[in-house]
Amino acid sequence: MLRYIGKRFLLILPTIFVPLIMVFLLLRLSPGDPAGMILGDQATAEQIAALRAELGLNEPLGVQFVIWLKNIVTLDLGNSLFFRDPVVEIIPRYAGVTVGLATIALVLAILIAVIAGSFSALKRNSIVDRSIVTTTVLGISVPEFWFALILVFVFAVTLRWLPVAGYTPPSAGIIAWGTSIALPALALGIRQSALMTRMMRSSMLDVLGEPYITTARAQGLPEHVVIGRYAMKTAAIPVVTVVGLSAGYMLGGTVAIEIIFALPGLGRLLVEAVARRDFPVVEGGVLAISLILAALNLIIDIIYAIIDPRIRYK
Amino acid sequence: MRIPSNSKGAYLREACATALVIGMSATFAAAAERGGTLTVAIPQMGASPDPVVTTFGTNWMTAAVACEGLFAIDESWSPQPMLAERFSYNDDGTRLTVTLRDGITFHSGAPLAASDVVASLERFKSSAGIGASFAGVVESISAPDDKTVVFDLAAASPIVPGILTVTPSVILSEASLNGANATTPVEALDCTGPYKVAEFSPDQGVTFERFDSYVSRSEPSSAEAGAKHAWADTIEFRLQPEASIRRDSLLTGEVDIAMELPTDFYDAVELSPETQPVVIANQQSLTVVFNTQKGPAADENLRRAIYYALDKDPIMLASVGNPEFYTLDPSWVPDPASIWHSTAGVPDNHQSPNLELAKEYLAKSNYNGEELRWLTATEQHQKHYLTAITAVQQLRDFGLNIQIQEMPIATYIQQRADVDAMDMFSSFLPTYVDPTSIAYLNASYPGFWTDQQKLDLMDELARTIDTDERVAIFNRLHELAYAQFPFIKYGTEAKLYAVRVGVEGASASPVSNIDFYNVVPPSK
Amino acid sequence: MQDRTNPPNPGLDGDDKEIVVVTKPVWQRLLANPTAVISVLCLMVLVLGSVFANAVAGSDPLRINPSIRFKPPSFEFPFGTDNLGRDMFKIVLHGGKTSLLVGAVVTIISMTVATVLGLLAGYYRRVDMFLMRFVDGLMSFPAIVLATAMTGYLGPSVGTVVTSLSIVLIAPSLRVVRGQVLVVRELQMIEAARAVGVPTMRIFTKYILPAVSSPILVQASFIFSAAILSEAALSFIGLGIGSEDISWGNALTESRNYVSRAPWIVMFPGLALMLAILALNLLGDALRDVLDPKLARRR
Repeated sequence: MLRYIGKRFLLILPTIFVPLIMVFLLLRLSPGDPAGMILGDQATAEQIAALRAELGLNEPLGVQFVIWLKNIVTLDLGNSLFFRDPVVEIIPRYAGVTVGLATIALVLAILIAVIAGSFSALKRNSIVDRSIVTTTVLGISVPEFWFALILVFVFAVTLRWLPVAGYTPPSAGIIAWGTSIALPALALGIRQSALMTRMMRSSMLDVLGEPYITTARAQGLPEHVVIGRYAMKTAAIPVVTVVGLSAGYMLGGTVAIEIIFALPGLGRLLVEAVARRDFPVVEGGVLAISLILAALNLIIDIIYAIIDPRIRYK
Repeated sequence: MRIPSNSKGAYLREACATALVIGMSATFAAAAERGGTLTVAIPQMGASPDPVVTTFGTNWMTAAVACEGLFAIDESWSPQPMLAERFSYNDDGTRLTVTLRDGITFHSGAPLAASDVVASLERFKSSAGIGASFAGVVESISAPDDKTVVFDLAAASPIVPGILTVTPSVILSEASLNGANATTPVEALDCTGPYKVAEFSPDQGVTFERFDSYVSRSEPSSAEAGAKHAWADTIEFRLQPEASIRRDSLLTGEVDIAMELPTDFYDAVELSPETQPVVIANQQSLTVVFNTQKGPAADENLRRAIYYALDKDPIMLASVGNPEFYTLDPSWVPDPASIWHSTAGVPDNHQSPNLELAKEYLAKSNYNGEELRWLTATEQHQKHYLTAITAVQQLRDFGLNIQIQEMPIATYIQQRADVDAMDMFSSFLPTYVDPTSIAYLNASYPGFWTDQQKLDLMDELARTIDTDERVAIFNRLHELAYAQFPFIKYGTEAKLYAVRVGVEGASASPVSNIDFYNVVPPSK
Repeated sequence: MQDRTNPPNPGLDGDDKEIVVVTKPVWQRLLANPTAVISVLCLMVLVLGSVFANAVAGSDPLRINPSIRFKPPSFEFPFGTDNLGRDMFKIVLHGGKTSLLVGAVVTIISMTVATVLGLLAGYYRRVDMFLMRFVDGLMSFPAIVLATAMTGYLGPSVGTVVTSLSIVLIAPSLRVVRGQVLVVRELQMIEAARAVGVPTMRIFTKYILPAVSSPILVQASFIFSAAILSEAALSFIGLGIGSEDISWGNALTESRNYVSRAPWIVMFPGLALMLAILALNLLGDALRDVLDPKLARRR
């Protein structure tokens, strides 16, 4: 197992270069010019050209690539073209918000999914099962930004339990942070929990049909052991996959939630950085997400190996 | 279904009257107590508080509160001294001498000196946008003594005080500039305004604190000019990009002011007993600009045909939404309070299409069904796309072949500057202090209107000192624009924002509605 | 609880060889399932409504007519009109064309690629090594950056959305398929088949594919809804199909400021979207029940 982990760890490197090279090329090949976005819509062509030269954007693509590669290898991510701050300082600030948000949302989603999904599978075709299934389908058929707006309307505008928008960092107090992140986490978590509940239910049904469960039952093992130790553990494999997917999705795809709740998160930073062609920030952001996800995927593969003894890594 | 524009005007006047009542309470508030926090929900903010590095006006808000220039605009769009005590031109109009006020200090505590002004304005001079017009007129800036700044001009020009009212021309201390060029943002704004920036968090907001050593002017407040009261102890900008969230934050009292709301929110903020709408009439013109250099739109007969074929009311209605929030005023300077507001050269029946005439011009043109590329920016859906799609529907019915190209703003800015890549683009235009600053009239601005008659008039406008003569010249320019149609204006739109009841002094002037130093927060 | 989940033990003695006990064709068994029938009918209404939108509602859904903004549903406008005076009935029907097309094309492209690659990756360790590194890389590439960059490059359009969503959605499906193949590969029946020299191709089609088809179907229904919803989310941040086209997601995004003023603008595209996804998911479930040999055995 340890060797396996070590090997996987080394393999992270090429994994990270795939998105980095993609982003480098995509950004530089797409139209739109950072210099024009910095100077604004009233700048003349000469002024834009001067700034392009200053920012080193006039170099041939190959030269830019070599410089960029050299900087990546020496872990110099450069400065934001807009903030002018080093990217290594900017990214963690924004990533912190998103990771906090995603963690809360994920925990929420997993809790709901494991409980509701297993229950639904065990009570297959009952009214409880049907209502859980219906709820999950409703849950996955509504866009997140709509959930967010509905939650704001119900909990912030009508009931006034929670603030409409804004972000309070954890340093200002855990309660204050929790209040500011509750609605966004809920908005983000509902859909993911619906997805996971469905996966859990479906996978649980598969497992309950497996001969070894029947065998276990036939041997007279108590039902809670059969379900808890055997069925749920195996049934959780596809769910673990979904958790990984959800986490990845949440890290890069929380933009709408971050815009609505005015959270200074990584998703919004990335979209804005792409929109204004702030190359170093986009590259830094993608690198950060790649690293987090690579780590996450590694953890997931290890969990696979732990919970499912049928998968043996040699 | 056409609504006569008069009834709209009447409504706007009424809205203005309401707003005026709010505005007037600022004077009553002279007796109000200082204190409290004023929280403002804003739709966007720049990456840096430094206004010199960008020409996007939306990124100047922080500096507009914390900083001051030599001059400031009043409600009638004329420049008034701000940090300047007095100013004078020499006899032939080629030298402007400005004397600074005494006793002004920067937020850092350093006293304001002429060298700070020279350093700030040299940097402004090398910046893009209006800085470039400034560089076009001013040959050198010098400081003969600590309180005097001298501008030597290339030729006689009246426009320097007007230019020096724009936010990028604010004065920062020389020490804080630290030699920064016009494209490198400064770390912090060391300015002279009534508030200092306590915290600038990109993508979150700005916190201002009252600057206790601020020395206010004694003239009554008028837009950005005159006295600044600094009622609130603290002003907080909160970035909330989503409009409905700004409205909801206002309704729940999380913020005191919600900026830039869609006009369809008027009823919601009007109906709530705790909030109040503020309508800024005559805010900006919605327009389309043509490529006058290359392609089918370079044919002025085609542009004339387009002008006469357009029915402007539905275009404004589709974009603005509420018929009470726009007029079909043809002036290229949208605010009637400005002396530059003009109707010179506007054809009779400007408000309705004239398809007969349009067909005549189309026949005279060389247009043969070539595809016209009309650029719009995704980020400006309301102003760009909604006007364009309505106009394009009318023009397609008229027989033109137009394709709307919707693109991210970064691409839009790049593409419209390319004479080969576009035939027309959606745009909008506010009132400028001086017509020489109007972006469309700059020959290198996309559209590239370089007609010789226009260039001569621009030249004359820049050199003439007498205001009445200048107005006459601008009217001729306005006439020319309505003969050649390098751009077409559909109408003028009003802007909506809203405040909590108890907020006093919120401005409804198109000159400035971000003079938060003169706004009294509600007592909580 | 136990009665329901612990049915009499029918086949403990039977081994994996008698896995498929098909009595009737799939479609016949589907017809016997009321949920499936209703779902199919629902989808057919939506698909036919979209395909024949011109005949049912009329053409030119984007036609703006500001003089009739915010008209509530009436005989003339069954779904009312929106903030630009467009007929919501037309928008919902024509919008369905785009939404369903985006969903279908993205699902077909990404699931086909994911299934083929997932089978290979799950079965051959060498392929797995190489492919999964690439997929991990692809997965750590934020969808939104890809969509933004592609929109910048190609401009907002249906094609851009389909391309970027297909690319993004391959990776997660591939992981699901591969994860399932990894499990199935270790089953005794596969080892037995290999041992008796069944050709690899036949192992794939006869044993592995049927065994992983149920998660693939569930995943496909996820992907379909994910594609439709992602298109809506992309519209929300201005990276969707653009204003020159219309979809349910697009209509929902544009209507978000008018909920209290004109609820019908939100309601009808929202209902259409939910109905489509509901029907698809229920159909997916029904298919799963019908196709899944192990569950079928227990009926």
